[in-house]
Amino acid sequence: MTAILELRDVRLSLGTAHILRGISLPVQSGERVAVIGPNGAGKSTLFDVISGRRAPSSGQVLLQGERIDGRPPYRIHRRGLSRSFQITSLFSRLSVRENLRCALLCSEGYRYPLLRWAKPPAHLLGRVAHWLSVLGLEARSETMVGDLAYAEQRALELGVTLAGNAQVVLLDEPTAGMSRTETTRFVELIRRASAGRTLLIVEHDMSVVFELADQVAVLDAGELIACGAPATVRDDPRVRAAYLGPLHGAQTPER
Amino acid sequence: MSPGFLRDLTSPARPTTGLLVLALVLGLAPLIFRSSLSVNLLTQMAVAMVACLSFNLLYGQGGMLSFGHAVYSGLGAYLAIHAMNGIGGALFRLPVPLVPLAGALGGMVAAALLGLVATRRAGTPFAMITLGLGELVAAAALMMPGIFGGEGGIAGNRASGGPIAGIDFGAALPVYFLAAAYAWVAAVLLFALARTPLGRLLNAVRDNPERVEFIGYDPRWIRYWAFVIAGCFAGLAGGLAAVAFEIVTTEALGASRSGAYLLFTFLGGTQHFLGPIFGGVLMVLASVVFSELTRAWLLYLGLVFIFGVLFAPGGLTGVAASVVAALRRGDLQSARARGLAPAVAGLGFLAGLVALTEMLYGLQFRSSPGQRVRVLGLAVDPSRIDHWAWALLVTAVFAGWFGWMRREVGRRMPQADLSETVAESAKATP
Repeated sequence: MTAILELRDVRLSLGTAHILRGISLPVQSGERVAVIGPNGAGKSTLFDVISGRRAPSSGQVLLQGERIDGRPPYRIHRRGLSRSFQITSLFSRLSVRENLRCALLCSEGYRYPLLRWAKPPAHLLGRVAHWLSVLGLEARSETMVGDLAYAEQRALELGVTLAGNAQVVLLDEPTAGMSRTETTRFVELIRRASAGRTLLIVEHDMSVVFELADQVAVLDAGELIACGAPATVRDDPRVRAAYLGPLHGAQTPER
Repeated sequence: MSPGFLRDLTSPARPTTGLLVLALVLGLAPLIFRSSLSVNLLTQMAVAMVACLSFNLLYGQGGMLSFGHAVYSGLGAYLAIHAMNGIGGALFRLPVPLVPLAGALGGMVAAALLGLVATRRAGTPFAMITLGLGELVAAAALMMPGIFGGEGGIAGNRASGGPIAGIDFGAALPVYFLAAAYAWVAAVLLFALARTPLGRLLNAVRDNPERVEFIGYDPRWIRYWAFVIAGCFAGLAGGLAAVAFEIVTTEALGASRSGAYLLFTFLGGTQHFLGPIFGGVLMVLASVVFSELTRAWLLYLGLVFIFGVLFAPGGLTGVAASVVAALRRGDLQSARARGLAPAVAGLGFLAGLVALTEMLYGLQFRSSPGQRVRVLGLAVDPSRIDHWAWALLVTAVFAGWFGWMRREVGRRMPQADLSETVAESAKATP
């Protein structure tokens, strides 16, 4: 089986700072990989490199066998890779419905929307309605995003990321700032909404990691120090030393 | 255009009433205001509407603050007047009703070229680049008197081709209806554009260009398309102006014209589709009518603008929308607190400032001591200390009332007041 997403010796240096030091990671189709590591380990930067926000200094990123490193984000998105942001990043003066609508346009075949009027909007509106119900935001569909509660914004952030049907989805700390009960419900939402897709997820909450992930990749100071099934990684002495150790894998260092 | 486009446009949930009312107003206005002066003013208003609508496509819809929008209306106007005069002698002379389209073409081509530079960036760099391009084009125009006519400009004669289909476009009324028809069509097209996928993505680019990249679009291209379309409609306004005035001078390209588009679009309201339409009306009222009344009109305009930026960022239509929303809820007190009372206090304050300014002007320019100046219908003597005291008192009282009211409103409806106003005006945005 070939990997749907593959990192080959990805490096990123900014001046003399080496942020990523040669990361190689194959991700199989349908896998859920959690990327963990202490703050400053380079997790979000890794996501930036994969999603096209930053070009790597060297190394390759392959999506379905084709190189995507150094390409602009919108091209990478069109090839089927979508990401969410740690700090909610939505269209604040548009309604929930409009946000989802914008997120769907690309997958409906609207390229440069002036040049091509692809499909009748009925199909698109149906998909918007579907996502509103998946996210549980039907009652809020006409609300401006700026007026939503935090948890609702996080749900919409997930929805905007997933709505375009990308095969590979990168979630950057989806549950950050949520309460325990909100987190439990949100993990269930992620599981349901991303069924059948390949998932990469940066997460600090270990309970979320062990609940969602088939694979855990541990990043420390820009290096991949361990990668494997959650149970194996948890028992790895190097991982314990770098990250999990002092807390015995129970909680996050920040909270 | 595809059926999808039409469906979006004609869907019953869409508030197209405004466009129907606009058609009615444009059609009936010259029957009510019949003098040749008022028909002339109405024509100018129709032209200014198109210009402000095109400016607001960039600013209100796309978050692009252009300081050089007159470049596109001006270049359109020049192409239009040359087309009206006949390019290459009388070889190619466009019939008058089609001349505005030459303007649209000119504006569009100019925007397609200059937009390649301008739309690479958003925000402040975009504003700077448009400012630079504006200065550049205005300077270049003065260096090419053959095309731009130097200081005197290029004159034309719309009657020279004779009547077309029995309509004599030398007269004022046919020209008004030509301008009104183009203005209405432009309003409909821009209204429709705001509802297309491009219009939506343009809003998305305004709110969060980075996220747009991660839903599959290059924000630069979206900005570019909007810029070209805005340039096209600005050129249309220029073409209409060329027909209406029969002269185009380099002033039409300049920074002050660009500034006027910005200022009046803002005062009309950038978050409501009707905002720029009111902006266009205000622009003509201010620059033609008020400038006749007082020498200090630019000063007052500046005051009103600053006042608007500080206290009514939604412009005229923003205030109207929040008052209407309050009335709909049956909340009379809130409607009064947001609309009527601040308007009265603001106008009173302004009247005080006008009195002070006019008296100062009177001191500077009077021909004999004791000569009175007329302020809002009152004869005032600028050499009398008690008249100064009255003017100061009026200013201070209204300013104090206004300030007190804002504090009260802020205390009774903090935050909610603001976000609701924004929500209302956003709802009204197509």
